[in-house]
Amino acid sequence: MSTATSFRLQLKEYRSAVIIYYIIIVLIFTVFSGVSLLSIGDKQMNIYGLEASSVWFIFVCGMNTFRANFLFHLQFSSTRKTLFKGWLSSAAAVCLGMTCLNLLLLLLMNFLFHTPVGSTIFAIEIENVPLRLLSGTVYYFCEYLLFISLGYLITIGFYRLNKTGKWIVSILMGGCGMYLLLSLVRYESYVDAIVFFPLAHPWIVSGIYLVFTAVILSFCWLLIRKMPAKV
Amino acid sequence: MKLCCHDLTRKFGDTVALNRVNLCLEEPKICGLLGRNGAGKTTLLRLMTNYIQPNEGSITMDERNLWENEKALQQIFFVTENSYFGEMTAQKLIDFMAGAYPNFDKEQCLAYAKRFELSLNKKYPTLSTGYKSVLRAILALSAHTPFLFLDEPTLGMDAFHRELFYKLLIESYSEAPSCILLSTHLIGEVEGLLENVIILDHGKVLIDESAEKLLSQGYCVSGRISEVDDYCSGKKVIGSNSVGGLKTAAILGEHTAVPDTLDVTGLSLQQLFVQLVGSENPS
Repeated sequence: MSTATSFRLQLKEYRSAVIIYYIIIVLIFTVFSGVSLLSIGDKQMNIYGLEASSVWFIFVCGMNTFRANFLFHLQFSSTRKTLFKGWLSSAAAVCLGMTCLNLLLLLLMNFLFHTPVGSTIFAIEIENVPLRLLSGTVYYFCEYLLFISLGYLITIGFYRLNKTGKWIVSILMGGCGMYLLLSLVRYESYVDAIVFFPLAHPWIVSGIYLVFTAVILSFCWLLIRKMPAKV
Repeated sequence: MKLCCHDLTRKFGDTVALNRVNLCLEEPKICGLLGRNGAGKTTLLRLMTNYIQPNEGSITMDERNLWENEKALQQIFFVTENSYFGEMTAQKLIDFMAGAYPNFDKEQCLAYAKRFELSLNKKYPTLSTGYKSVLRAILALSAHTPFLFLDEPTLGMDAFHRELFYKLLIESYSEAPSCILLSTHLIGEVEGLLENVIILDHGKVLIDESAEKLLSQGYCVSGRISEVDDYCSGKKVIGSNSVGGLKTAAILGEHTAVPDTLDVTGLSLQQLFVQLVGSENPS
């Protein structure tokens, strides 16, 4: 199986999930826009959350694209290297596609309902609008790539672990996650600084995300290259 | 083309599934991979197809390491009960195979599907166990790769489909000879097909030789119980069966001076296999 075939095959895996996701998003936007127009009249309204929900969606996508593709590649005499190259290119394509779709959706909402769109993609602190859109696009692409890679790393890690290992890691990860969430309240000012830092420095943060992505992908490859098939 | 295993060892925890296995497969030949449950047959096949890596030793194809070697792996097609074909329909799988394997004969595969009465628009997971085996079998028979590994290919197939499968296997092999490694417990059914026999026992290669040579190591005599018992005294009897007043005994060694009252026939592979790997003593 060539890398191009692997790319097409793995890209297909995302297709139905992405379509369903955008149908839901469009429905939510339409309903809330309608309700807002009826209740507020011609006053301005804000729509938040598309980027955040996309990040979670893409993270979950990353967690669901390993096992089936891995076994399928092995069945058709393909290598782990082809699988990884195919996944990386398909993941990048999905991230880029979703970034562009989000941008289009926000511009469409802005055009149709005259919403100023409180989305952070426009909140980037750059005066020049095209440059702001470009930096926002690059920033979200890098962010999506980071999260899809993180999801992939988690699922690969879990695939390699045995049953006991899965329990231990799940409990530890869950515990750490809960502790982190509870601790965030105490460090609210720092959290705010971290959250708003990308808006002021999208290019720097994009670079940082890419470095983290590269590190995560390196771990992914280290785990995949000798991965045994569990069937 | 030559596929060789060199001192292949694979462990699962404390269990040694394969212990320093050495063997070579060369095309064209139909080989039987026989062994009791847990002998290491599937592990060997999974190692030779890159599903798992050996703990020790290596596998080479024409002197080149097989691990993550896409070009070499393309020369092998492996089907097993656990083959993963996703949610694809039979038709889509056939189309995909045509793109993935250059020698795959799509027309032949479709013709086979028709003969097996396989519904092409059904998704692989929704097929019955028997028809899943049918689909795997027709994909394998049409792949025309130099090496074809079949792990329990007739699992769940009815008698008619099994007969048809063996017939098509011979047809396909005659048209395009390749190295077919057939792993099965139904020794009686495949006995006539095999040119070479590999018997694994407790992770080791016990036998690796031609079926003809293997079966010439013994013979069967049948006749009246008393006459058979008389003839068998002092000989190595590896199995016997009595029905009414008649008895059949399988004997290892060359047959000499058999009385006219006794019938002599060839040894069956199953009898020999049971004797070689069975834990029970021969009667």
